[in-house]
Amino acid sequence: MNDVRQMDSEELFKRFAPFVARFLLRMGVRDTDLDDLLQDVFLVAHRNGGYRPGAASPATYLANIAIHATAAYRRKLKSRQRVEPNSIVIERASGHERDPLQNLLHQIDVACVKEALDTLDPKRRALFVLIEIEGESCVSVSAGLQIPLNTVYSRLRTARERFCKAARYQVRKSEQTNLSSFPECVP
Amino acid sequence: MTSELRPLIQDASRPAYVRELIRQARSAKEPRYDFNAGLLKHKALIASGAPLPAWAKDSVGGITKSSMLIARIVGVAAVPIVGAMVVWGGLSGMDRKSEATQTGTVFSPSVQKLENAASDQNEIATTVTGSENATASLDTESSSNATAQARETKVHQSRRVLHHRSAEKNTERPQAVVPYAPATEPSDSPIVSNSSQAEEIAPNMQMEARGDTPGISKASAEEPAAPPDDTLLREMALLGEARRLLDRDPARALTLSRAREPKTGILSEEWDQVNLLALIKLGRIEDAREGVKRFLRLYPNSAFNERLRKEIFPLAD
Repeated sequence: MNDVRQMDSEELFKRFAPFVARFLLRMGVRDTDLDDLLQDVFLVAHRNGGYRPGAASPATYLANIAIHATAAYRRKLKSRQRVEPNSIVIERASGHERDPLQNLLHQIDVACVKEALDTLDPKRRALFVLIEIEGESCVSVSAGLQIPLNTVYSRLRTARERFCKAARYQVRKSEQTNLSSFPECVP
Repeated sequence: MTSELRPLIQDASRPAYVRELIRQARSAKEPRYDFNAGLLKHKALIASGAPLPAWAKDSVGGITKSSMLIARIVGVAAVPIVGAMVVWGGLSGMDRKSEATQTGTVFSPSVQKLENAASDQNEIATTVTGSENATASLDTESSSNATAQARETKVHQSRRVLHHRSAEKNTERPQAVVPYAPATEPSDSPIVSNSSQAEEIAPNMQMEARGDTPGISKASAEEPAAPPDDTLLREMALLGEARRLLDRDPARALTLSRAREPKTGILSEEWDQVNLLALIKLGRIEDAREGVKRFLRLYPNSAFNERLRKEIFPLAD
């Protein structure tokens, strides 16, 4: 991950497009808008001359661009509100690669994570996703997002507390969920 | 602080369900996205020169909004400084020009609005060159007790007369020929008519910069011409006053626009604008119509033309 070579946008796309796509989705981008934002991120990376070796890793460099993209995306989204689709139902209908119950539980967990992430503000959400879920180091995130290291620590600590609080609420809520709404998944 | 550095998924002090959620999030499936098709689309976007998204236009090349703001502040602060340098350079250029005029060298004005009327400029430059020669012959005919100041005045008068004749030929300008004040066009990038003359002028300008007096223009060194900056500044102030008067006293603005003094010729386009607006405000549509046609011919690239064509000229029709 910490490749220090200079990379143009095509190489960045080949190696980091899945990461950027995951990051965008975890930042609240809808599936239907993923392609547009992904192309925007790598187009900006191309115009910036690609990735240059430094304190920031390619992932955090791209994440910084993606954060700006999602900020603009959220502003645009406010002006065209629409109903959020139920991702669990869509995933269930799209077929299962593993055991149906395990898949459902996994989807519920992922949905819980998403709900918990939604309680964070964009700055802390980005830090939490990069450090806790993607496993980036605080130093790399600090360099990539161009914010002081102590600010990273401070925001991360707040984000953890809020996430844990929201996760507890989501887990209790999911435990109270009646699985009878998914009869085919009940063994 | 040390506990903060430990990833949440490894922090045993956190509830198990939190660690499980993080683990499930890490093991989430890849998004359903065709990355090969995405790569092809990315290449196509680059090849087509697709524009940047609006949110990225302020941050490309490492330039952030804050640095852009600083650059703007510096730019605003630099405007009066550069303006003062331009005026200062222009005035010193005028001094050089008055010196060079006496040596028979022709300087081409570098004023932007004169560049807009390129065809007129060429004609004027040609006639001016002729006038210099004519003036030289006048000088030989005139008695030897004519002072250098008088020669300079003649040169400039003949230039202005020819300038107005060329303008009248194109525009049938109703105003009488205006005896212009001594030339004040800034010539900060003077173009010398030929290289030999340039070689003659260059040492003079260097001497002038050192404070020395070129031997050729001894008379003007002894009797320096009146500083033309006063004329230009007074004209700029008068132009501002005329513009302010357009709304409440267009007749007075019209009078000011046609006043003979002080006029340097540098602001002739602006004065013509004031003249046209004053005529329209006074309801003299016929006069304004002719003036508008003349203005459009004289200044085909003026920023004022769009307003003339859209707002004013239809009224004149």
